[in-house]
Amino acid sequence: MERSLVEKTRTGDRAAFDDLVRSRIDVVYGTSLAILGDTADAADATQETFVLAWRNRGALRDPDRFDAWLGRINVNACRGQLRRRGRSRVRELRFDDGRGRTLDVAGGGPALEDRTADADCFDRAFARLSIDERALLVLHHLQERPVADIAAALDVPEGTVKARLHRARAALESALAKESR
Amino acid sequence: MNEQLPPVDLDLRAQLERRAAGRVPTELLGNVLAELDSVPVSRPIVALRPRSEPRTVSALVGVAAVLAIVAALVAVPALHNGPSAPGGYPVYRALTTSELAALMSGPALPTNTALVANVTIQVRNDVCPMNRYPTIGVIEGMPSQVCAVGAGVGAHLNVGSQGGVYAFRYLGPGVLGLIGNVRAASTSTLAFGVLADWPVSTDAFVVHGWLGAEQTGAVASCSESPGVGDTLLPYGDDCPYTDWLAADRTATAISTPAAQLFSRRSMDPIALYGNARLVAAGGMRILDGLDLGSLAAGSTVTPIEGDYVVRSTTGACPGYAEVSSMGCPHWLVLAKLGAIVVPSPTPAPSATPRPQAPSGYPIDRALTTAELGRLLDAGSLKQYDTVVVDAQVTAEASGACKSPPIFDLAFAGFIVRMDPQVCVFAVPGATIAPGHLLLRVLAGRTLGYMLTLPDTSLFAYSATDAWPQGDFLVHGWLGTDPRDCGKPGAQPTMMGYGLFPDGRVMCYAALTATAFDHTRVVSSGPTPAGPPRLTVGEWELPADGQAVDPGPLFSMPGASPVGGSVEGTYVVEAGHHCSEYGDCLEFSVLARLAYVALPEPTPSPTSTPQPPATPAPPTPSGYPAVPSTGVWAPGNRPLTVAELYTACSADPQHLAGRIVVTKGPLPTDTRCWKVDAAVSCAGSSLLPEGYLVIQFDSAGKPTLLGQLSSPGGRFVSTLAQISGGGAVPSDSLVVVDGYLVESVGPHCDSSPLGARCLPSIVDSLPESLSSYRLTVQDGAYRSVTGRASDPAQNGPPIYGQFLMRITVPMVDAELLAQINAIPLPATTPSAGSSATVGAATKTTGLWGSGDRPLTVDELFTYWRANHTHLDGQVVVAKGPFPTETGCWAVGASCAVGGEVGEGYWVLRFDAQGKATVLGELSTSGSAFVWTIDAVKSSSSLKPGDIVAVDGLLEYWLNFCDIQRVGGCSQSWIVRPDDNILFSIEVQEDAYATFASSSSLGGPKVRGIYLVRVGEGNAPWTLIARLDTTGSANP
Repeated sequence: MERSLVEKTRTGDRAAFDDLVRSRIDVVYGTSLAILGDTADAADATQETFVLAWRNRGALRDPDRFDAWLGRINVNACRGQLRRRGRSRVRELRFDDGRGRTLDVAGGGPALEDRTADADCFDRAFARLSIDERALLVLHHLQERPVADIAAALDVPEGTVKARLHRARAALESALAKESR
Repeated sequence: MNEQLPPVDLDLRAQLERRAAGRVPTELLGNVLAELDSVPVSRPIVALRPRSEPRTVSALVGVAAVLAIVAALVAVPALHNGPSAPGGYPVYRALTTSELAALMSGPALPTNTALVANVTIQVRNDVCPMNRYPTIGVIEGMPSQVCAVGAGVGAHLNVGSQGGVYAFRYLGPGVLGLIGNVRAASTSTLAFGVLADWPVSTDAFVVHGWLGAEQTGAVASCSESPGVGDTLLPYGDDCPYTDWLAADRTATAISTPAAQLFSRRSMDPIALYGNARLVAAGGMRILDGLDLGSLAAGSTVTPIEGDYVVRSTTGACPGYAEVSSMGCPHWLVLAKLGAIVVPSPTPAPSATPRPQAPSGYPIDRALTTAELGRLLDAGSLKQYDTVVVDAQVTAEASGACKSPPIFDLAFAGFIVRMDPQVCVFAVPGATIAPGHLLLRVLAGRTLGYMLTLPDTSLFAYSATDAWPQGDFLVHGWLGTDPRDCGKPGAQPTMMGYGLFPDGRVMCYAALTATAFDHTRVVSSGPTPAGPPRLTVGEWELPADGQAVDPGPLFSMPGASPVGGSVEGTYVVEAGHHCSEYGDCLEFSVLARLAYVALPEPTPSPTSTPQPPATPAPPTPSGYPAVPSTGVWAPGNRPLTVAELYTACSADPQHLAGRIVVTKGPLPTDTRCWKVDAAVSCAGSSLLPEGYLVIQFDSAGKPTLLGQLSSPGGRFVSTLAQISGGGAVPSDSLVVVDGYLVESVGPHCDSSPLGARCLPSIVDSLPESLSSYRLTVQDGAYRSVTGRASDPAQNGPPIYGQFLMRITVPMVDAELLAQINAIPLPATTPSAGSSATVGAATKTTGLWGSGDRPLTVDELFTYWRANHTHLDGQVVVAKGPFPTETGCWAVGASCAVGGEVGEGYWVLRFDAQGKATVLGELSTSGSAFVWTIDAVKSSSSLKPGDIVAVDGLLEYWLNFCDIQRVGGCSQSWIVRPDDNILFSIEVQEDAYATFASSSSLGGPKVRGIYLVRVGEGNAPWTLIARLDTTGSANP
């Protein structure tokens, strides 16, 4: 059933592709959200993923590899979204150090809960990683994708996935160390 | 669970689940489907290669698409280079504000001249009264007031100032009519090509192409003269003419008589037809005075090349007098950009001369380790100075390195190739990747590792470049607000490790491309619930500035507070994410590189002349002069048994001491080599099948050293090919292409505390940190070159192919020999002679002279004469004949074995001489060899059929996706004239297998190829490259 939807999509059957969108939108959005960490960015990346998939449907060779192919587009869309993220000219500066301690400014404030601080610390550390590193960690630790799918999503040889995963993990540890100081 | 990958980290998983938690927004699916609706309907350009399936009605369009590809391949360079209008108008980009300012200051332009400019419009309506259009605002940066006027589009501009790329028409001095926002094709190119995807949105865009038109209806059919319409929004209808924009001067699919068969009602108004699209340009043509020549039916149209402002719109459906309730989308041409002369902008006042870095300091690249050494030796670097060095750190025992007293850091290693030793400390757990290392002087020759900068083609960005993620360098002026940064307590105290202070921001700053004075507005007031925060209002950055957080720089030990605007190369880190309070990306300035004068290098002592080398012993004639012990066949392949016999016979020493690579099976008794190996020679044992590495003793007796590995089907591999995922296991014998160096390069730590320097095979010269290398045994260089070692000076690198036994994959190997081709005496081919050898490999299929299948007699004769009895060989022969080779001499009446009937058969032989039928050879009429064209147009071929095709075997990327989405096969058989549009896709590794090369864009190999037709769109299977049995003989 799924294979026939993909085959029909390749021939330009829009209704078939819409069915694929409905069945995949949760996964694509979840992946984007895990990588980008922001709902608006994730929504934009999700939208771009499916538009690119539809436009490039003729490039899909093997219908059985649709999910891996879509994953590749998804990672690229996340990469593009991150580049397009603008910089606000108005900066609101938090005067706490992430450990629930406020610096010496007028007003003071309540300390943050450790759990929130840990999550925030993790998010800041994760934001230091490249899109590829984030994608590696998400595809393996969160989604437990097979090596072939991970390699296809990142356009790397299968034999290098393990080493790259190790490096991504090391980069995250290093970033966590910086953020937790 | 991925068995090969590390186990899932549950804590990490929990964090990622938290990040990914949340329902899909309810409107997202609808948005996606709506966006898909806006994607153009048809794209004939997708089908790039004609297939063999029956043609459809759209074949005409397909051919036009093919022609369009060719045209586009010609047109693209012109687009990419940016054609200039007369006078240098930059039609490939928008005018800048200063250029527009210069234009508006000069003589009046012709009324209605269209242009595109990147400007900021200050929205206001209290200026420029009495225009026929409402005032939208004033264009900023003009020497005198320039109003932007218009209707409709102006409503999209928000209150305040709106910057962007806009299309205008010059309405008069000081007045520009706003046509609309313009969407650029890319960040580097303004105009879209005709063949590109045109955006369907409210934005206009620019298209470079040829506007053409022809009469496709009767004048009487037009209800009224269409007229121009509004200057800023002209009518599109051009009845009775059909307008088009094409990628070149013709629009074959639209304007040819054949295309006219399509009624206008059936043509998609926004689709691409061949190389052109239908457009509605009636009003624009009149407005911009475009005379397309006589537009009478059948007359010649003179298309006009230009840059046209286009927008999608909805209007009357083609062929209908009345607008349907839905309308039809179509492309409305709003204007043709005018050919204007842009005056040279007024030179900016000379900026404050940039202070030059002290002579010799390379501010545009990383220091070398030698330069770092000179700086340290001269005492030029003081504590806390930060430098970028191209280096690698080896993780060795700490030896004489002592922890710097100030910082809580861990020993990380030494910088390689630095003597005296330079110690490196880092944050505990840091991994130091080689490359551009950002190092901070901690004490003497002890440095602190901060980070490794990514390898980019640009050493340092400017403040006006688009800054990347991660860590990078920016060369510019760092300016701070002394009112902010100079306050007591403004600079955060250092926390944690001295290399990475927390850098909490108390100070506002910017990096600019030039020195600047700044103003700012600061406000503070009630804050939302939550931790207190100080809100900094609009920071009026200079035009070439980027806000940064200088806190980390200030908190660096030894960093003096920065006041005013200081030029330098700054280390910037991106990534602080303002998550809760809005998306933003903050840039933190971590350090400023130290600028010091590089001491001159100490002249090296004059080297003493080398004593003359011991003359090498005279080599036997016919042998290479290089004292190599390894030999194999010309063409970098194992010798056949017959070739081995020939070589051994010709050598007076009978290859004593030589290491030979040959193909087995091989009798150990050399007297048996003259006899077919398949026939056991009395008294001789048999070395196995495969590619054997043997060494001969003084008596000429071979000893098996092992089997040669052929990773990826190659006999010779590069170091890159046997590294990483392609690493061959320990104890493998491989032949590696590379350079044998006596002493290793940048990886060698020459200090007594470091690793020994051993000879290595490296993949490229000069060696760099990214070179692949395999360390070999001490003495390997001497054994290959025969040169006595000289500790004072390394011998020159030796390039060649080296036979190695891998000891530690990707790290160490035992060098057995440099291997060279052994010249083989020419032999006269004689039919039926046992000396006749087949030089063909398993990639070569055989058939008869004159490109035809062998007869049974010919097959038998050749099989008998070939010492391997065609083991593994593909052969094309004419039936009927028995499949048992023992019967071939007897004929069809042989009672032993099966039989194939009439026809032309493709066979593959095994080591026992048994033939397996692969299939029947399909012929093209009476011809055995097909052309690509015939194959593509054949309706008789079906999946599984085998054909012999004449073509070029090539290796390149497919069109399918530049980013290789979905994967692309890379091996092709192309028509002999190398027209890539007529090609057959074959299995991806076909080129590597049959052309013995894996270079993208490698040589194209002409031949007759035996291929099996693939299923549907699947690549075909290249079985063999056919050769005649006559030419297969040396």
